[in-house]
Amino acid sequence: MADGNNDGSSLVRLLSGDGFSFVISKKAADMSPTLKNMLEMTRGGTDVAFSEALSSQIQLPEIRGKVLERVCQYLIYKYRYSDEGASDRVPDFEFDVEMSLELLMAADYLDC
Amino acid sequence: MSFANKRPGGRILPVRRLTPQVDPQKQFEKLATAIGDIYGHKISQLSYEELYRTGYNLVLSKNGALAYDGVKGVIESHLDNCVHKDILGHISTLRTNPTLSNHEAFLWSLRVLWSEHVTTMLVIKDVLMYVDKVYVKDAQLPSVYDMGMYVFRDQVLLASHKRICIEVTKSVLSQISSERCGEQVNRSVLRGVVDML
Repeated sequence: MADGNNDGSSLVRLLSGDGFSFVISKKAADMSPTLKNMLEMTRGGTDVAFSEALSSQIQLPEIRGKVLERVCQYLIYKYRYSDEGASDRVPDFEFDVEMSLELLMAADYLDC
Repeated sequence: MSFANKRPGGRILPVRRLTPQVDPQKQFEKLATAIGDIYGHKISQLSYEELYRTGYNLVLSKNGALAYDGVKGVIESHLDNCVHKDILGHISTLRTNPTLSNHEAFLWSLRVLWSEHVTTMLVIKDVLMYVDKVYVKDAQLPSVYDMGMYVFRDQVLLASHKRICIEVTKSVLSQISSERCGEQVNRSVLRGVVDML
């Protein structure tokens, strides 16, 4: 579970409050400062890792499965287009209106 | 995130709480216990998400002050304990027996306390990132990390009628003068203490 944490192709698992599980690459998860801090292995030169970093699994009991799915898609979208400067080549990220409030809360929680 | 309406006329669903509501005081106690664990080097047993969510809920329920001031209090009392346990013992040894190695031991213990404090503050700063982002900005207080630095200065260096501050100055100066007289001095300890100041 915790192997390969230092190379770029490592994966993390995000678990929603209602039991859904999503696996994304660590580089995409790092697009959210909150998730990045959760998975941080060293701070200030010393090894101080929380249980999430050691197991590469993050529980998010406040976020619903459907919402977490869109969040994962957004993180990958953000990672994919983070190097592109011109905004006209970047497609809009669309989502259902019904989900907008829950997505807003999740975005605020994850700071992304 | 950009807002693009796929189907106009859709109703926004209300947010349902998936975890039960907990009393703010109990939430803060969870944070306080966690800080104790962080100082006790038990971080791998802690869940960052749970602590971050506790800070998040405290701020959302308008209890940001409880979180901020409470954490400050915990850090203050912890540093106070450390000072009384370790540092003051060294100072009394120095009073009776001001040898070079005693000075060095005193500076070394202070340096260790400082580096542990910095590491702990980095962890606490990350955990309370939401508090920093929202409550601290609104209340125009120093950020969590800065608050930690001020607490260290007040509790350790300026406490006990500035005794520790005076002792540190005396120790550093005595080490420098000893070296000038040709005695061997542990330079890394000295450099560390100067960095801290």
